[in-house]
Amino acid sequence: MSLALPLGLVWVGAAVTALLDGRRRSVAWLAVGVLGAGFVSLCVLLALVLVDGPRTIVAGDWPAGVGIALRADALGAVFAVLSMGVLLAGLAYEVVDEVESRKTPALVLFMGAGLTGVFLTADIFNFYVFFELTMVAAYAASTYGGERHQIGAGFIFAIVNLLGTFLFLIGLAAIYTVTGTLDMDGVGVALARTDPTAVALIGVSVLVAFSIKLGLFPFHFWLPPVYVGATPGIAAMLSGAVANVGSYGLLRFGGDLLPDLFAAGAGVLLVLGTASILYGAIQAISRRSASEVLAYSAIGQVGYVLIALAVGGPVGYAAAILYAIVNALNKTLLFLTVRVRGWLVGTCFAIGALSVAGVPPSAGFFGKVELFRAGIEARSAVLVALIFLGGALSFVYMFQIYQRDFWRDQHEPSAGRALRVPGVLLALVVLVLGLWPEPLLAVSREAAAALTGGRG
Amino acid sequence: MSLALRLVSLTLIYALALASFAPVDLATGVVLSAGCLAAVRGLRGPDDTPAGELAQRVAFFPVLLAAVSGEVVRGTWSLSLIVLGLRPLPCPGLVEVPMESRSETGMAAAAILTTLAPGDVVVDMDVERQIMLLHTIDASDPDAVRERLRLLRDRYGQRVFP
Repeated sequence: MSLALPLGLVWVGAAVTALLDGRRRSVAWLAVGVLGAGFVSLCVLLALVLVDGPRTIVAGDWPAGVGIALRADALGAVFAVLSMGVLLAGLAYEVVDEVESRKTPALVLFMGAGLTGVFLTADIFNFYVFFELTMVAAYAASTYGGERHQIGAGFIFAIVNLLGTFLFLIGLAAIYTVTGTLDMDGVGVALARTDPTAVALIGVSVLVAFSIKLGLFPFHFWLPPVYVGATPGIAAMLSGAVANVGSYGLLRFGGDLLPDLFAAGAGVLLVLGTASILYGAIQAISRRSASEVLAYSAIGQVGYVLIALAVGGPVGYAAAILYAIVNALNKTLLFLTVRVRGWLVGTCFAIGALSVAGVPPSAGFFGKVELFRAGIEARSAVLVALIFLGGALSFVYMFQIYQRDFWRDQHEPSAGRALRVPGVLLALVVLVLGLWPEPLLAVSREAAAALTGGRG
Repeated sequence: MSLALRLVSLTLIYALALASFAPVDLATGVVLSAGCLAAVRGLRGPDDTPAGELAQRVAFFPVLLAAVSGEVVRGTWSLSLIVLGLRPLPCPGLVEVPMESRSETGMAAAAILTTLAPGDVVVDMDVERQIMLLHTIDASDPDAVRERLRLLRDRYGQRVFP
């Protein structure tokens, strides 16, 4: 199977859908079908990569370093599958709930094309191009609904993230200046021989840029208004798919291209991650609206990814990847169930809540177990205590929502039963991965091994 | 923004893009930045901030950052005690905080910085009345809340974002 197939499929689908009225059910379902086809092709690609190893193509058979190169390794492929799956669930939810804007299905497809490109490119400048494609579509999608607060939140989202993009572009310019190449493999090799001061400047630009995208404390202030204002499907896509760019970017640039710098700056990553976990959890506990709790929870949960990155090595990177996957699934599940009611959806929400808190039998339990392993690997009792404390706090705020919204204010869902389907399917995925975690653990270890710093 | 600050900012961006602060690169950056500024001088907005005042504001920024961090720690601690049941939940509610003689930028900055501390959320800004509507975890004494924010504003905030 050609590496370009999933990317081309979704991109062509986006271009065609952009010409049509997305409010028509046939067009909206066509977009869901295109995402479904993209998801299946990415799953096949992931399977091929896991069996045969990384695959690379250069567009137009141009010599390496000249043509646009795509490369699928385990890390990129797993993030591509995850993000496409989240977009598929989010768009299906919005379509069932009725699409109100003609552009929304096309925007989601453009997000899918951009994300697939980000995770499958082998070139840092194309990474930026696909990254921008994703973000521009996300800025527009975040205003879906057209209410004043949604447009205001979209404006904040765009401005703050453009600042991050600007920093990232400066970092890329610096990388090209000092290495003379844009190819990721070449960049990694050249940076290892570069003056440490120049590498530190590049690393700071990249870290701040991706921290803004992820919504890490203290770069988080754009995140709550956007997640709270967005509709459930869009919030799920932003938190479960678009935010993956931040996690993947930190892993790819930190773990693959700048592993020595990230190892040297582990203390800074630990402080930022710890602050994010505690700040996000305390803010989430103090909120009453479910969307606000989930928004602040998102700030706290990405802190764990940063902590695992700080530990580094095969164990730390595998934990970071596994936690990023589980966190994306959890957030998508929770956003897609939080505004629907009924015992079945309540059960699905509870599974998501248990997963965030790291309670078995959910996938989140293994996310926390891997983090504990990383903490023990780092021989840090404080880290282990922090992970335990963070889990306990998340248990409190998740079940505050459950108690308030699903026990006390129980009422029939306002929409049809079909609205429950994406949430139920995702809950099953979270549950199955909790009961049979071997594939998830194997994939995250394989993906960590794709990183220079994750090979031990 | 003063001409000097524009020149410094552009030179800094140039240096970061090269990942080098070598004297020759900085000198090249200054020349290129000056050329860019000269080329777009017709597009420049009014220089409404004297250079000295701007330098003071930039110099005071770390102090403001430290003060806001202190507020975040205070808010996190106080909220943690309430969450853990070690302190009773006070009286959450809305408080109107006057923002006398502040620019729109100053009011926007105050809203963002105030919301960073757990326990306080800015609900609305009335620019015409110069009032910030704040939801706070303890609104039992609105005057104390206003006084706390006034001190933060007078001592730190207004010096950076007038």
